[in-house]
Amino acid sequence: MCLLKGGVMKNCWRLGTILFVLMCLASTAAFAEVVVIANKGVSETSMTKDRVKQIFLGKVVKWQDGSRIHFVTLKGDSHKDFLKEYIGRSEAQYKTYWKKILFTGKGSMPKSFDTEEEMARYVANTAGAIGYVGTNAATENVATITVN
Amino acid sequence: MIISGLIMAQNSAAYELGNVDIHGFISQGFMQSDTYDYFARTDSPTTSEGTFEFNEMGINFSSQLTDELRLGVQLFAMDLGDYGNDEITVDWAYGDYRLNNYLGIRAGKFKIAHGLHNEVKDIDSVRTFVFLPRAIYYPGMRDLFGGMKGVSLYGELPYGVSYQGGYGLVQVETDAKIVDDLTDTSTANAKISIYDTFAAGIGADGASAVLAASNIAFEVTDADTHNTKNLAIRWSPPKLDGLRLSGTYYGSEAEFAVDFTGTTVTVPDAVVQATAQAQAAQAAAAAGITDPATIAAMAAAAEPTVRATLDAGAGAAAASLLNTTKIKFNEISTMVFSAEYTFGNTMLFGEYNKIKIDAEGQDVVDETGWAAGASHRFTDWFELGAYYSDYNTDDDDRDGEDLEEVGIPKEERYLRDFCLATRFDINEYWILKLEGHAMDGLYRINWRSHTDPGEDPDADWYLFAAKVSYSF
Repeated sequence: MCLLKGGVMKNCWRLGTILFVLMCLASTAAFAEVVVIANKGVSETSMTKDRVKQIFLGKVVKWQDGSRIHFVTLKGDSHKDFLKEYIGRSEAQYKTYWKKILFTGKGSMPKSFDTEEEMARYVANTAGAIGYVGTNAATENVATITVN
Repeated sequence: MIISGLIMAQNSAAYELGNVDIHGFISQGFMQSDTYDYFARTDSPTTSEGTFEFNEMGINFSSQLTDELRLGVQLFAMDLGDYGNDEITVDWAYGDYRLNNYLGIRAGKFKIAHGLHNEVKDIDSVRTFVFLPRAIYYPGMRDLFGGMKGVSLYGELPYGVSYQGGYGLVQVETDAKIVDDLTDTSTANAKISIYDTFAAGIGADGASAVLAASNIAFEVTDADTHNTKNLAIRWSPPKLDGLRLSGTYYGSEAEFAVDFTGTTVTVPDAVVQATAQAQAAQAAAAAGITDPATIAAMAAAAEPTVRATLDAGAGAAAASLLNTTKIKFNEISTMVFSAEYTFGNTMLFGEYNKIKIDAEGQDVVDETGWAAGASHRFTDWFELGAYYSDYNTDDDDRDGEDLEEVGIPKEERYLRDFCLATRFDINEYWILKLEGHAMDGLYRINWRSHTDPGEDPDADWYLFAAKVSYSF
């Protein structure tokens, strides 16, 4: 514990501040941002977080223009970050949810890609597709969805 | 064989044949109790000795034919003691046409929505526990709650509401577990009927003696259900992430052709003599007669009349049963209200089940069950869970006094269960579960094979279950 002498207290305070900042950075680094992308033909360029959730839980299956939604997922840390930010579930909980769907005949497991490049290519080439990539991924061939 | 072959390649989440997705699962369990059998035949390895007669397997084939139309079928087989015996059945098979986000139509055979988990109760990999709370999900009701044939409408409504409603029928065979339950219940009701016929006139001891000398023979020769309805309304409030509320209703009419041939109602000589003696003592007291020899002579003289009267009662009781050729249920229905809250890796749940059984000519029976529990995932591979479940088969006789009057242990009225469970996710496809149950009650428990005649059964007992599952 820091004692009363001014110099020691000051150093302790500085050390504590540094540690606090490092912890914040560590927390931030553990949560990389993802951006929601869609095929350029999708008319909805902005949507609420709840709509994103409804799409990736298979509850909403058609865009507002009546065309079919094809949502796809990634493997790895981006997937975990996406689930945490938009779906509010862990990877295990999301997988369990979809197992219940497929073992009752109500749907299929979402298509899943190993890399962001594969994800972006699929979304770019598939009408009605929606997915997500990290903020540093190339997105020139897809539309970026504004989520509010 | 198909499942075994597919298991050999473990690195695929599914198999595809063209546009057809293939998924499957197989679970093998072991259960052992310290006292009684649990869904096990008495003439084969029983739960109290430990049994591996505990498994499920299924494989499904599905295809999204167009953006709107999906077809699929799941084959399923299970074994739970003497129930199921790995007979392959069609678990579900239906076409699903989704018009829009608000409305879809399913036609064929589909799972029944009952509580939060009935539709997936056979899928071991989607839950923490080996056995779901018995108060809501009784394995012996599979034939009535497994799936229904008909048409269903479903869809998503605003504000996180979803609905699912179906109409059709449930196919029940005469060798179904529910028929065993009907047999037990009908036999118990027949005993209560005989007891009540005699108790008012000759007292409890006399009525019990008549019951002990009588024989109830009962058989179901045909089963038919119709007018089956199922509705589920579920709400996940958008502003309260992790909360899921559910209300389900399931109701059906049913008719069973039954046969009581072989049933006899017999009044023992000792009952006739005791009744005549009681009548004689009463008449003597009224007349001021105190001589024992005179009273004994009065009793002997009354015996033929008493015999004739009691035999007439016995004949009427037997005829009432023998003339019963069908048991019609105007309604067998359940309503389940459920709540589940997930935050982080923790899940809390509570469910309440109200069952109504309205058999023609009998009093309506209300049964109640409830369960509450929690689970927490500590790591990617370890989850711990616990629940308490309480089921009672007659709200008007919760303590089982009606059963006790006819010589059936009152503990057959209920079953309470405290469960502690562990789940280990070995990898993406394999899981192992170990769990223990501390039971209180004897409802649908084969206690007679483990209790000496004349002894009261112990209502406190324990069950251990282990299960390994693979799914793809």
